[in-house]
Amino acid sequence: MIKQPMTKTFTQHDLVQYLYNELPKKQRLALEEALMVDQELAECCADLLLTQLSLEEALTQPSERVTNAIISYSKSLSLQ
Amino acid sequence: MNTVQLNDSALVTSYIAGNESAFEELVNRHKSKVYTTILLIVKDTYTAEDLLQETFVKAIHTMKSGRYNEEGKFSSWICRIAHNLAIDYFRREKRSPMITLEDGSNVFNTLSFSEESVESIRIKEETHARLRDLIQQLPAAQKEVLIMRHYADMSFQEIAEATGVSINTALGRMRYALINLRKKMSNDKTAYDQNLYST
Repeated sequence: MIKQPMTKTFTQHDLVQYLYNELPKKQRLALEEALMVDQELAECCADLLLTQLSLEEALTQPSERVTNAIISYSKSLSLQ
Repeated sequence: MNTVQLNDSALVTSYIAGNESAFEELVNRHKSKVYTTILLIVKDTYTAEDLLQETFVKAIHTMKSGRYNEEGKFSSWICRIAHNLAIDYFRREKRSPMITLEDGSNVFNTLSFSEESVESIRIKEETHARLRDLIQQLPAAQKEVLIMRHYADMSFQEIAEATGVSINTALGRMRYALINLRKKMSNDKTAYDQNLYST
């Protein structure tokens, strides 16, 4: 008889919390174990992860002029 | 002092003690997320830059006057100021949803300018702008959670409290936001490829 690894059932909410490092350590480790054996869960997690990573591409920078203005403003207060 | 190696909390302490380079590091570390949070709400680069300045001015006054509460993360705190200012502005103006493209100076400010051609920078920026546009198309409640969690760095618990819903609802909205965004990205890519090959 093949002994199946015991895995807890994880919800989609658990996956979202995992992506954002909000899952308690014990649950995180259990989820990572489950990801090794549960292909459906792993695919679901990969999909969410890819989308999460792509969100980084939407990050944009303000102009240097504005950044400098903020830093200068702070310095001007120090001089007063 | 090498400010680059300090964590945010140490930088804030150093800044309050009078070290302006600590503040410069905080600005450089967080300006992109703060700015993107604002831009996704107000949808106008010029307004977003004005509100970015307003956000940091508020932060400067709070820290310099000793009213900064060290509990919690600096990133969540500054993004929350930005989020509130952007929401206030949006409600005040009730602007129609339209994204303005970044002006040329943003492109020329990118550090990788010397390594990339102007054309590849333009294509990359267009792709990023399209992604921001897809985020705008999400249902309001999903977009709100996505901005708060991913860009404003608020925890799901903080989001639940700020929006008056349960943490499970906030998690569900985030999950649907990611799933819907994935679908939109996939559809967008298909449409883009079809346009490309039909010419």
